[in-house]
Amino acid sequence: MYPFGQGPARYLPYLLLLLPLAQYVIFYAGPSLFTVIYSFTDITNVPGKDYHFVGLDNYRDLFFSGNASERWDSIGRTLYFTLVVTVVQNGVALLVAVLINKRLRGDTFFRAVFFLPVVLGVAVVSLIWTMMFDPVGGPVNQIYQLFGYSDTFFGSFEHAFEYIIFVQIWMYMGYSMLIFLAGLQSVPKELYEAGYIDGTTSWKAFRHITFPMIAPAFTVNMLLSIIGAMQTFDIIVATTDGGFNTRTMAYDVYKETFRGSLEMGLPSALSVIQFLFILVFVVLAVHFLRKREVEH
Amino acid sequence: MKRLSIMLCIVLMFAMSACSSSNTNGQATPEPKTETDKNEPSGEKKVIKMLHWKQDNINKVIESINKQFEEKYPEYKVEYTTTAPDEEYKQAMRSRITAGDLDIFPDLSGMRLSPKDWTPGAKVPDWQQWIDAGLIADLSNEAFVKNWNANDIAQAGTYKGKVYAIPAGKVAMSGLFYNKEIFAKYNLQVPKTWTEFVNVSETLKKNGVIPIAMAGKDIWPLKLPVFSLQAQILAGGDQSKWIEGVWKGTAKFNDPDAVEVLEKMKTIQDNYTIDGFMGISYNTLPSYFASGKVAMMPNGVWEAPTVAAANPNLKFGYFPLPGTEDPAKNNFLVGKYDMTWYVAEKGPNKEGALKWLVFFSQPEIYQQFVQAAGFLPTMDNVKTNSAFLDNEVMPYMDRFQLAYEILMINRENVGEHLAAEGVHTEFLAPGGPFRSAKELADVQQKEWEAAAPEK
Amino acid sequence: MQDSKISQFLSYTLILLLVVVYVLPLLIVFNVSFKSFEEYLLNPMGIVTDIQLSNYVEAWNQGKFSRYFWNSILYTSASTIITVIISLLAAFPVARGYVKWAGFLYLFFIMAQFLPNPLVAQFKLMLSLKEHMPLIGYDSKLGYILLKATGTGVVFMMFVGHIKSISRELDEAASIDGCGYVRYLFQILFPLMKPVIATGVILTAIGTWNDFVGPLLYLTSPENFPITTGLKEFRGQYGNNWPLLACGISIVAAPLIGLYVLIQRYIISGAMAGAVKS
Repeated sequence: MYPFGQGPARYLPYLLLLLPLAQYVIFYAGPSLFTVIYSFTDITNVPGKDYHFVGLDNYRDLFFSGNASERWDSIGRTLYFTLVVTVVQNGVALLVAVLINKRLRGDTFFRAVFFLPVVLGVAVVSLIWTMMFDPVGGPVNQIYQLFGYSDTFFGSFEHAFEYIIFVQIWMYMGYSMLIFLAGLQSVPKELYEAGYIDGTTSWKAFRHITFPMIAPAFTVNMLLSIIGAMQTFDIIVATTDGGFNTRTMAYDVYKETFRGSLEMGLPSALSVIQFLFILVFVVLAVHFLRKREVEH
Repeated sequence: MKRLSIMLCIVLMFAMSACSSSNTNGQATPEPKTETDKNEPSGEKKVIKMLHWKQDNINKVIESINKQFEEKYPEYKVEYTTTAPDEEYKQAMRSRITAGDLDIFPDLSGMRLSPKDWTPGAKVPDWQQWIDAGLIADLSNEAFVKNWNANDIAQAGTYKGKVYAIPAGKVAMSGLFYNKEIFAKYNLQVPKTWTEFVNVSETLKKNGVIPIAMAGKDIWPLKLPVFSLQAQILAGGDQSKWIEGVWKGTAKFNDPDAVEVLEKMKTIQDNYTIDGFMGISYNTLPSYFASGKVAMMPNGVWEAPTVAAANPNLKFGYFPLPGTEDPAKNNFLVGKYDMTWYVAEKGPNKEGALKWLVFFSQPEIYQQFVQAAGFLPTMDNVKTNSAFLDNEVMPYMDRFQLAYEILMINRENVGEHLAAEGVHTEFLAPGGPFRSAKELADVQQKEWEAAAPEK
Repeated sequence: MQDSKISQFLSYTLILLLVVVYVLPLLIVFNVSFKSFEEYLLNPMGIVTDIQLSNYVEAWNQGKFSRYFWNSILYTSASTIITVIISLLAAFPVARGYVKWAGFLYLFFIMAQFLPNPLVAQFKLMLSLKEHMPLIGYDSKLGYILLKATGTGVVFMMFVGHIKSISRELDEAASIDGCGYVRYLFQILFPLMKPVIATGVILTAIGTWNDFVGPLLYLTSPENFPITTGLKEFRGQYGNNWPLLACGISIVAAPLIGLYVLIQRYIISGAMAGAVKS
């Protein structure tokens, strides 16, 4: 029942809802839909040039032309990136959250430190790590050299992508940690006390008491990192700019839109493909995770 | 929370006031903006929007030329915006042309890569699409075009019989800078053949001097020495013939001559280049050479002013990378036209842009530019005024050739090992995944065939 | 719940190790920012011997930060405030079901997180807005702000989650006291939502303050450049001038760190609101 009056006043929420709706439809959902439409055309970025529907030509060009194997490579890389980031980031975050939640002295400080990279943002973080990973005189390489090893970091075919994954995890671990921490703090203390009286080990306590209680936080973290990882391109732009086998789907969309040819159909089609991948992953994850939440 | 919202409000108010004050000479409003600059006496100024990439010596001289232009024509103001070079510049140039938000801009090289009748299905370059769409001003009837060398305009600024662009200079880029003191110390001569070059590098290495630094992080700098090898080795020294050959199927990327190019570059990368060069970025490269850390640096002649500025006492020279055993075949430099000015047909101020180009085309103004830029002039009777260019570069310029990346026309959607009109030696081990030159060459040929247009 | 000494020790070791991985890079950057370029070249990582405070002045001037700083403040505060307001306008009726199809609207809004990347059409939209409504189009401050603000996605989701945890009876009690819809939202609900709002503020502010891709496309006039442009000034001729670049990094990072310190105590409970309840 709507409490804030009837009659014309009843329509106020609708009226005010138009603001967010307009912003969303005009600047985001609308362009998104148009991108889908463009993916079936030969539209270009040359002003005033006509465009036509070309059916699935753009999709065919993506997967059946001279450089199709690079598409598959970047899809494979995207999946690898998503998998590693999701698992490691959440694993570390959960561990840190559990440790901090034990009321270590200085927990506020730890929390702030781990969240700091999120606040710094991609531009700053990638500069910091470009400096740390400077192959000549950079601190990390100096440490490597103590062990008789050296690397070219963001200029290495073998390792550049791994370093990007590291930076991504370094940057967003704090965010996942915070969500876990909030979840942990909602677990009533009495549950543990009951468990300890029964002589439960801490692993068992975690497995059977803590983990089920933070299942919602777990779900949110999984979804955020899956979606986030599959859409990451800015960190790649700022570190390797796609060189040294570090291109992912999201980077390709950016690159083809603004730096490839003047054709806009192809990057649109790429966006659609990327969307389909994310959709599948999200649906799978939600299905799997919600089922677990219910089981516990 | 209250504190926060109050703070936000204050900050917002500050920002608004800062914004509105800058709006008086800003672009937030639509009309071609009437500017009032506090430092200027008065009057309405017409803005000329000029885009460029960051390159310190060139930015400085253009800024100085803009100032002289504004002094002579006080009704104009040049809005000179610079972006990071290369990819970011291309991106900015593209989106701003699309937006009709530019009056005058340089492209990174002269007109190139235009499809020929023997290149079915080749990619149409951006500049050609823009001209075809009527976005670029036709300069054919402008009087100032005659100031420039007719041959250079024909080669780098003409499309379908009309002049659309002014190449602001030529550069040679296939050679190596060398440190004359280090060479003298070990009694080394400028090498004239591949074997001599290898010997020079070996001697340096034996004496604990790192022979070469290159910038692998940006990838494109690795192309520069390869241009020399390609021009000397492909089809016995006729790379145009070779390029036509790969389109027609009579030459292949894994033919012995093409593999030899890759192999020689691999030798240089593996044996004589500073460790970790794949992590060195281009803007840090001159410091390795200028500080005497390495004896040689493959680079374009445009870096001479930068090297000289970084270490004014350094004595350095320049020689073409010798790729064969026949000195007569190695004795020339390869390069391109650089920084080619276009005027946008549909920009907000085409008339002003043309006026700027008239101003720039005066020999005394161009003289300032070419001297600071370190380019070879494309205007007759203009001197380089650079001992470096006159003594070190000009002797190799009689048989100057355009580089592979300018002559080559790529197939559309060609694979990454041939992308951007290059042969990508960064993919060679140890940095890259290919252990031998032949492996890379085989993949290149496969990608080239895969990109062939459907019958 | 008592922990054994060993496990306590292990916990501290682990956490402190991680703290090093997080703090050391920042300290190194800070250290480098005080070095002269010569000292940096000679000894890039050693502790600074001759502190050059003038680096910051030089970086501030060379990076033209005074020009860009206020632009970024404007973009960030405006897009953040708009985001918070319109997220609230969207989240409240949806969370309460005060509008029809609330469930559908909820889905529609949170879809923003993974709809097809709209880059291509967004760019075309901004261009056509430039022709017809130049105030909010390509290369306009307001256009960029509107593009960066959003009443949907994560912030909206957190708001909905949090509002659901606030009792409905409060709505009714307020309305009986004669409180109107708008006043209720901003005077009564707003203060109750501090934690989620703080979280929303910091997340939106981060996104706008650090944006370096958007401005390249949508803010092309020098007087519209944001603070991230300043960082590009130091990728200079004789190599990256790391000491100045490090100053630039500190200058760009400082305001957000300040904001974070100011509101961080709210953030932890806020981060969770959306998670548990939605």
